[in-house]
This record gives sequence, structure tokens and C-alpha cells, in this order.
Amino acid sequence: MELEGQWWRGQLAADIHQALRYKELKLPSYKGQSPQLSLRRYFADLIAIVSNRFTLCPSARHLAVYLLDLFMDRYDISIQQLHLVALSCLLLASKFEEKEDSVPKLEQLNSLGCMTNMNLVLTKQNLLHMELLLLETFQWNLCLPTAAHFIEYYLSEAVHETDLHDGWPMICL
Amino acid sequence: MSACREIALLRELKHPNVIALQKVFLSHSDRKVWLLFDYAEHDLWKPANILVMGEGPERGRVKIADMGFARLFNSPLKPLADLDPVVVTFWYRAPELLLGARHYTKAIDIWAIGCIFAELLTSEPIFHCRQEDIKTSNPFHHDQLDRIFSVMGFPADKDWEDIRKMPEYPTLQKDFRRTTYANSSLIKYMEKHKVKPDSKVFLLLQKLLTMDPTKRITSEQALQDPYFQEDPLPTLDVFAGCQIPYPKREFLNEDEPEEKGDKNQQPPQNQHQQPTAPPPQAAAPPQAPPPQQNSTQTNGTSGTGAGVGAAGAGLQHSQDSGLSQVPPNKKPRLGPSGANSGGPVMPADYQHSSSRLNYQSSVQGSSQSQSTLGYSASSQQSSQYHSSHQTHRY
Repeated sequence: MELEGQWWRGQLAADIHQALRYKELKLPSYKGQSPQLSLRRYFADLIAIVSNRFTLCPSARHLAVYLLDLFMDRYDISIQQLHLVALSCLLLASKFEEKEDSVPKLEQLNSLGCMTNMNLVLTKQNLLHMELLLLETFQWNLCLPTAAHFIEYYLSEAVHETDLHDGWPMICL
Repeated sequence: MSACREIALLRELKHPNVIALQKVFLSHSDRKVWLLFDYAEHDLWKPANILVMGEGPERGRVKIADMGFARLFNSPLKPLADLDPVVVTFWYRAPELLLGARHYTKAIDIWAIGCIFAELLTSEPIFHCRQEDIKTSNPFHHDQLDRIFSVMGFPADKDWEDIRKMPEYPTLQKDFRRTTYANSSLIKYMEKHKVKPDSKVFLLLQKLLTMDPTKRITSEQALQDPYFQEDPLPTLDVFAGCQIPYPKREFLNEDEPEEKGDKNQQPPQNQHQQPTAPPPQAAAPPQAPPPQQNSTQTNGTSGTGAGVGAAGAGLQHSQDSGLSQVPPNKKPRLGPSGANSGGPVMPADYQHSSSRLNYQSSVQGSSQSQSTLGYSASSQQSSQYHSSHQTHRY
């Protein structure tokens, strides 16, 4: 049963928010110790670009970057492999955050301009392997709240329909 | 909903009255996912897979199992549906959902609890109805609403004022006549089943099965209901220390057909696989993996297809590092073979993980496992997901 995805409008919003806060307190530790830390920006951008192409929701994008951060923190990874890692993180995040039919398909991924420009071809086998490795690493715990998970709720609490900014309704901004 | 999400969410559930997912096992070689659940002896009730624990530290405790997978199994994405038509039960669905309510509410769950409560009292699903094909995306289910009104009567305007605001209200007006149900009432229905309208149990049922969601009792109020203050008082052990009236589940033994020669029934040696569960109760058969052998998906864990065995250079890390923090200078190295080379990227050392996962059986093409997997920490194995609902009716 798929009801509207806007949980922050529903009756359960306060409960869901509390559960997210509780989860947030128990997030895995991040040390920023990846040997490839200098590449983080590049791969975070890649995730952002690809997730825009597939119009994935902000929480999927943020979760993907967070998964990438956690994984890079624990492994020494070659640049080539990082492409696969980053895109697998995005796939996993979209599988957790999105409806199933919004999850990017392999052929769609491979046909993206940015992928062909990089001469990057993903194979099903590689992606599956990497996804399983990620899931094992995170012990299937993909319920990791990020800023994106909170923002809609806080906006709905903090901004009223009649609030103005420079004379314009804030809600439109 | 993706299998990946289901499993990740199941990992979150920890409650004394919920069957816990203890462990997820991956079998990289044939790309299967095994789920290890708590073991409960008796199927108490079919609707929500409500189980009751047998002898042991949690004797007589009721547990809910399988919430997510029931839905996953009903998912229209599976090609299996072609062979075995998949239907969804709307018997427990609240009237406001059938009339197009857009938000999930606690009241929706209370209605479903009311349905199960009635079923416990009468041994039949109160809103039993011909099951419909999964493909309908319309919330409005004529037959189901008809069944609800046949039991409850058509709601009077004063009983549910906001019914007019429901998205499907015009359809309701078009398709239904109040007079059709003039002789129906919950009182009459329950009297047929020897439940008196002035009994505390009936009064509670009536509050649970209130058509207007805003007037329906809340769980907090229900727990304070006089029904729970009268004898017999609620007990943690539903058998209240008496002998368990159900036959013990039979052992499933190694005669069970197995498709894998390499199946290993030893408990996993690796520390990763220590069962975290309280000992003998904890073993349960893995439910068959959500990823289907013949899934149509091309991406992700639910995908299938190509074998995984290909080995190649590229990955020189030790899989054992798993979750532990690794100092930068000792980081496992994900090696140089490129994602763009077309060459094998992963293989090699990922094979280690499949050797860790020597605990596997194989069930092809069905997500309701019929074959059961031995797990020798436990003296009994049996799938809680099949067989003998009727023998355990309460």
C-alpha cells in the first residue's frame, strides 16, 4: 500500500521524527581517514549529477554520499573502483529511499552522458557484487538519517504558509 | 518496495512481541540471501502471521512475524505471479482506506486489530471477501466495502460525518444503497457467533471496529478497556502456565530434498555468524530469499543472472576486516582493475565471503520456503511460514 510519501504531513510525523533522532544518535562513526579523501568531492558531485538525472529524492542523494563516506573510511580504494562504489552507493540508497520504479536501471545508468564521457561501463555482475559488499559492510543497516531526512519536517514546522520573504511566500522558495 | 529496503527495515525491529530478524546471510556464489529469524513454535493466527512461542524462556508469548514480506510477496514485480496468481487480502483494510484516504494513521491499524480480534472470537475472518487481483491500483474495492456493510450496516450520517470528504465518496454513493444493509449490524453478526451484545468483549470489539476513524478507540484507550480488567486477566504466557494444547511441530529432518551437494549443516564457524539470539529458541529457517532467480530486475540485489564465479585480479583486501575500523595504513585495498575496463572488477577476494557463508540451502523460484535448513544450534527446525494453520486455531 503506497500512500503519500510525505510523512511529515501525516499523523505519525512526530513519532517518525523521534525515531529518526534516535537513529541519528547511533550513527556509525566517521573518521575522515580515507586515503582517497581528496577525491570525495569529485564522487559526491558524481552522485549528485546522476541522482539529478534520475530525479531521485534528496534523502536518497544524501544517503548515497553518506554510504560512500562510510565505505571510503574503511577501505583503500582505487579511483577506478571508486566509480563503481559511488554508483553502487547511489543504487542502494535509491532502493532504500525511493519507490521501486524510480530506482535507476543499469542500461539507463550506462547510457548517461557523464558515464560515456568517462568511458565508464558498469556490468550487472560488478554492481551486484559491490552492492552485496556494501550491504555486508553496513550489515544491511541502511536506515541512516541524514540532514535531508529532517529538512522537510523542520520546514513544515518552522515555515507557515503565510510567511513572507522579500514580500514573497516563503513556501515557494 | 525493494527487498533491500524490506530487509534493512526488518533489521530495525526489536520488540518482545515481534519475531526478530537475527541475521542476514549472503551467498555470493549463487547470489541468494538467507534470513535467520527467531523461531516460534505455533502459528496462532493467519492474518498477520501471529505466532505463539512454545516451551522455553518465552513460553506462550505472542509474536508478530513477517509484516514486510507479506507485502513483498504480494508485490506485482515478480514474474512468479504469472504462474501463481497473486492476490491481496483487503479483509483487514479500514473503510477509510477503501474510500481513498491518503495518509497512514494509527486508526487504520486499530481497525485491522479489530478484525483480528473478531476472528479470534468467531474463528472466521469477519470481513471475508472474494480476493482481488493485485493489479488494481484503485483504492475503491466494491466487494470489500459490500462485505463490511453487510456485517456492520451502512454508516449513518451522524456516525461518520466526514465520510463525505473521502475521495471515493461519489463512487460510494453511485454504487451503494443504504437500504441494502438495513438489516445488518455488528450486534447481529456477533450474536450468530454467541457473543452477547452486552458483554465486555463485544463492547471492546465495537470500539475497535468503529467506522469513523476519528471515533475509533486508540491503542492506549483499548489497553485500559474494562475487558482487560475482568477475568481471565491478560498473562504474558497465553497458556497461563497450563499445558500447551497444540501438537508439537514435527521435526523436519534431512530427508528434506536438497538441491545443493555442498550444503553444510554445521553451525557457522566464523565469529561473524555467532547467533546473537537467545539459544535454542532462536533458530528459524531462513525464509527464501527475496531476490528471485527469475527476477526481471536488472539492477541491484534483487537482480540475478550471470554467475558470480569469475575470478580476477583487483581486490586484495581481507574480507574479515568487515566492519572494524581499519587504520589508514592497513586499509584493505580495493584494487586497480577498472570499472571501465570491462574486465572483472570485483571477483577474487569476494569469494572469501562465500566461503564464510557456507550455511546455505537452495530454494529456487519460491519465496515461501518449503525446504528447511538445518541449523544445528537448535534441536528443531521448522518453517513458521507454512503448514498447518488450521491445526493451531485458537
